[in-house]
Amino acid sequence: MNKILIVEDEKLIQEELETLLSNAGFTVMCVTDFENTLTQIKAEMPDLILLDINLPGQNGYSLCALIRQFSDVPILFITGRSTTMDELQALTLGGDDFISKPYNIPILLARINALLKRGQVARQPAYLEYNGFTLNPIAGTLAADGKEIELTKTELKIMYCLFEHPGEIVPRLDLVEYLWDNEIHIDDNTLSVNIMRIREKLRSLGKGDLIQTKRGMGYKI
Amino acid sequence: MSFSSYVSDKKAVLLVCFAGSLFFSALLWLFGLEIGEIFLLWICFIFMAAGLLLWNYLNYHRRLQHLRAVMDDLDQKYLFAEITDTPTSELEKSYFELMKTALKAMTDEVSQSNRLNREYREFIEQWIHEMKVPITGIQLLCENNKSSVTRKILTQTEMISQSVERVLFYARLGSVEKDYLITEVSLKACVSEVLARNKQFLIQNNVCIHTETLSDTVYSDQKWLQFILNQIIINSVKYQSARPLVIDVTSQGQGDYVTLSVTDNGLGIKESELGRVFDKGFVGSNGRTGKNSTGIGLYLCDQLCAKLGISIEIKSTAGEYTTVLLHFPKSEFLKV
Repeated sequence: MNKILIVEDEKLIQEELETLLSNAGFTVMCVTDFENTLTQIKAEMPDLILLDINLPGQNGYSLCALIRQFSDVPILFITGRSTTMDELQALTLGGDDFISKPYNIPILLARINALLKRGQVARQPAYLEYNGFTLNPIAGTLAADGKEIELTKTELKIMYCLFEHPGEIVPRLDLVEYLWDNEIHIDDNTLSVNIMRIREKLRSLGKGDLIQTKRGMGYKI
Repeated sequence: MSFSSYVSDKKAVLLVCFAGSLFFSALLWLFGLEIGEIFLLWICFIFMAAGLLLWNYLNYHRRLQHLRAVMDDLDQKYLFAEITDTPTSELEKSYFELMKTALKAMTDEVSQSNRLNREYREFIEQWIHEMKVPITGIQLLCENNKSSVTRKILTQTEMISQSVERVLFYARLGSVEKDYLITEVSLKACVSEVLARNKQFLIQNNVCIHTETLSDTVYSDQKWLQFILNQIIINSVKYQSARPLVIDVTSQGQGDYVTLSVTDNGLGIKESELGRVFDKGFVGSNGRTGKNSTGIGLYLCDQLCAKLGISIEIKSTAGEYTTVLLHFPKSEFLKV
């Protein structure tokens, strides 16, 4: 589990970031005493640091330069300032990435993951299985009883999301949002059309009833 | 100044000379001088007067031409009195002093208002940065407590955030040249980020966006480009028709250009209004029907595009579609 240190003085944002990142499966710590930020960083040795620029006492830039003297830990600047000069300064002082407030949460998470994954192998499960079905996200196929169907990118993502929540109702809005986070920008109607197509393909496997519609709530497998 | 106007300026002096000459001629004649001798005196006098006049005129003329040349060379014309050499004649000196005082007062006034303007802009920028903190707070709160209500709050927050952003970019418009960083930008990544930033707003509006064919990269400033794309996409949502909104974003390399086109199936723009959409404060007939249009979005886009060297173009048929085309120059010089 990756350890992330948040250096942010705005109390509410600090707390909510902590919740958000914990929910995303990270171990999160916050700097509380801005006089001794460096000591805390040395003690904790985090895998990634989220660094604000406007801090009490010492600003983020000089802090970043100081951290670089003893560690190569990835540093992601999160800040309200957004001019090119700020960005340049952040990157030249050893920051690894720069994201400006107000940030979009999926983008923030994606950048954190990208920084953490550097050098690590991406870990996407090769297969997802449920009730005799095997979803192969790399080949884009769904198999059951030795038969296989091909899925389009959109269909694949929908199935992936459903397979990740077996037995749960996935609300339509959650599905649409999940797709948007994966760069498939479709509306509610198009989702219905896609579900219909998947069902047709499933019928060719003889399993037309895999996806159930919960009226007014969402879909479930 | 032409010679004739110079002479007409000196009318009074000439008249006095002429009258004096007449008077003295009469006097000399009474003393018994011959007409021929008086005539000779007249000729001498006229030569002297004319010579003096001409010499004076040439002096003036040269001086004026010199001053005009100085003025033409000046970038900031109001500094004229400070730059040019001080005059020698007393009359000109007085004029000069007056002009200097006037211009000084003017430059003071200008720099005063420049300072106020700068202070105002700095205040606005500061204020925007302060605004970003609570906006971020709200977004995180909503994200951590997802429900149908917080989704709606998020949508509203995205709208606030867009407006705030627009103010910031408007305030910075005057200093684009100090704040850009040209890099190789992937159009796909750029568009994706814009869409991600407005996710809730777009989902709530039931928008379907096709970006599958986007592949080209261009050399531009990511931040400003995203702002421009943001305005275009928000416009598409604002002016959607009763049909479900579909936006097609495609790109294409054509000779020396990469063209990014954003096509929607919305209300479209009337042909008569097409030429004025980039004007500041222009609100077309679509905007007047209560869509809180400000007529500033496309104006900003146009201004920014001009500064970034992108040419922007709009094609539309009322009731059918609107296409915004951005042409990015594909210069060999830009390749690193």
